[in-house]
Amino acid sequence: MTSIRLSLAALAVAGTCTIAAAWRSQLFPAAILVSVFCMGAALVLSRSSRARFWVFCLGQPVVILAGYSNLFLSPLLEAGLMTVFLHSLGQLSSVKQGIAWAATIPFLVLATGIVATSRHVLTPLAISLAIAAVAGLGFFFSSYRISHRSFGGVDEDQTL
Amino acid sequence: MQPTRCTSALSALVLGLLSLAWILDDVAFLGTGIALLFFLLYRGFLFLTLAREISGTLTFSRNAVPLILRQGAAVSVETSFSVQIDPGMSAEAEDLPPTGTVVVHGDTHTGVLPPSQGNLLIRYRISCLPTGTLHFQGFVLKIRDPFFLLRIRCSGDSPPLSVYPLRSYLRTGRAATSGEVETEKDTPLKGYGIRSFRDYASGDDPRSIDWKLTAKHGRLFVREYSGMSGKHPFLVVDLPDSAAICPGEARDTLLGSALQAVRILSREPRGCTLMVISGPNLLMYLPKERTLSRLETALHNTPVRVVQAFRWTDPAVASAFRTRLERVAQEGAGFHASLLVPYRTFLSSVKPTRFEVQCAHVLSHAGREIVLHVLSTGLGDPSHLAYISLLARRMGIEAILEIPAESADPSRLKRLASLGFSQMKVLR
Repeated sequence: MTSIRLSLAALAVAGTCTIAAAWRSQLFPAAILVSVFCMGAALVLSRSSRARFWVFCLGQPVVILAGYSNLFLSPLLEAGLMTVFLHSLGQLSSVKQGIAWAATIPFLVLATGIVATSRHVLTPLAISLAIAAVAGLGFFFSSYRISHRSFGGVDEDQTL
Repeated sequence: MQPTRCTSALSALVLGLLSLAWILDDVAFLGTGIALLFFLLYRGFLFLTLAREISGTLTFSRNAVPLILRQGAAVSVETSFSVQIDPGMSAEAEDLPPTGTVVVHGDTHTGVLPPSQGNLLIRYRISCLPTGTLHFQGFVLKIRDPFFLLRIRCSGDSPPLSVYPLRSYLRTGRAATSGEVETEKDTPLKGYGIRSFRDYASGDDPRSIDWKLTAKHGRLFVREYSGMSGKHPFLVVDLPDSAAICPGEARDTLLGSALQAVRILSREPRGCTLMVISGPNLLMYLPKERTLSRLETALHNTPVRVVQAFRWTDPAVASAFRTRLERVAQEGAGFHASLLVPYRTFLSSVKPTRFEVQCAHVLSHAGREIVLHVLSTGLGDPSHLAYISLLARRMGIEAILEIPAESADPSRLKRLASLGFSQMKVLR
């Protein structure tokens, strides 16, 4: 199965799960509507050069809708879509990357699950943004060290 | 670390979802937004980890041939990279040639290296337009995955290029660099120029009969060729002071002409006699040198003038001036009497400088059958040029001053003409 077909299949599974989770609820028509629309759009965009990215993005409305039906379904579907997305980009081809992703999934699902059970948005949002800011600073310094300390690297403005 | 378009789009999506979550106070949006946010953080962390590993496996070597060349000549550069790339990542390398050079053949980019690529070789040729010592700027390694891009610029370590300026040195005039000088005298060696015509006498070479003149006047005329005397060129190159301001064009013209002259002279049977000076400092004297690399090395110098001269006056001239001052000062006190005091005090103790002794020694060693070609920028104080000119006149040596066109403004030409050189030329 090619990567784009796998992505479409994953989106189809996510859509079906969302519809099934919304069975006998007020969200059922919306789930059908959103899932069908996203699938159709994904099929249309599947021939574009960035089809895998578009399919992954089109999966997000389905995941959000699944969050209204079942709190724990949303992180699971998101993890599945991300796994397929990474696989389609060739980012799970090595054992190292596979292990790294497998180790990350539980934390991702757990964090999303905790957030989904919270009553208000502000506190988890602030905490998440603070963590992201700290991580961003860490990335900045780390990339600076790699590009300036390794192998006699120099500042780009410096005249040699 | 730069985000790719994919990461930028995902970041925009995350911002949109989190904004909606905040506005609508909706945890479903928040959950999805945070999942995508942590996904991006995970990818960033993984990318940096792998990029550090890749940069650690990088080895690099560069080989440029030739390292010493003339301006505008091409240099063949061979750069080899060796890097171990993990699956899912890709790398691209670019060699950075010296500033001002032009790539005339090949490409400095490796293109995208696929995973697990071992060695890669880049071959290209550059044309060096600037002169002087040119350093390679290093190389750039771009590491990328679908989400991020990291650009590592490394200095690399390779010897610099020494580029000599290229100018022409015309072999024109009476004293050309071939070592032969045409004279108006009758000498055993005949030149190419015609000195005069005379009537044919028995025993004359029939080949020297001028048939046009004979036909015109109805009697035989023969050509008298100018004589050739074997005066050998003696090149004096006055390098500019590196501590003083000198226009780059003037320096290039001077050095390029000097290099061209030594190239011509080094092929002559007697080789090239070169004296490199910088102001009143003798840097090098190479008599009858035929090894071009030695001559070029002697000129590849950026001297700082340790000794400076200012308004040098010949002691004989100064003595004459003192005598005249004494005569004028007898008539009464005043400015002339005051000026006489330092002349009386210092003139008796004036000794020849080291430069004067060295020049006198060198020129006496070279002999009288030489023609001095003094190549100088003509900038700054010309005391040392005045001394060389005076010494040449005393020894009966013809001296020609040649200065670059860039520094040959009328006022300077007038000032240099007063130094007493037999000829002045402008280098172009």
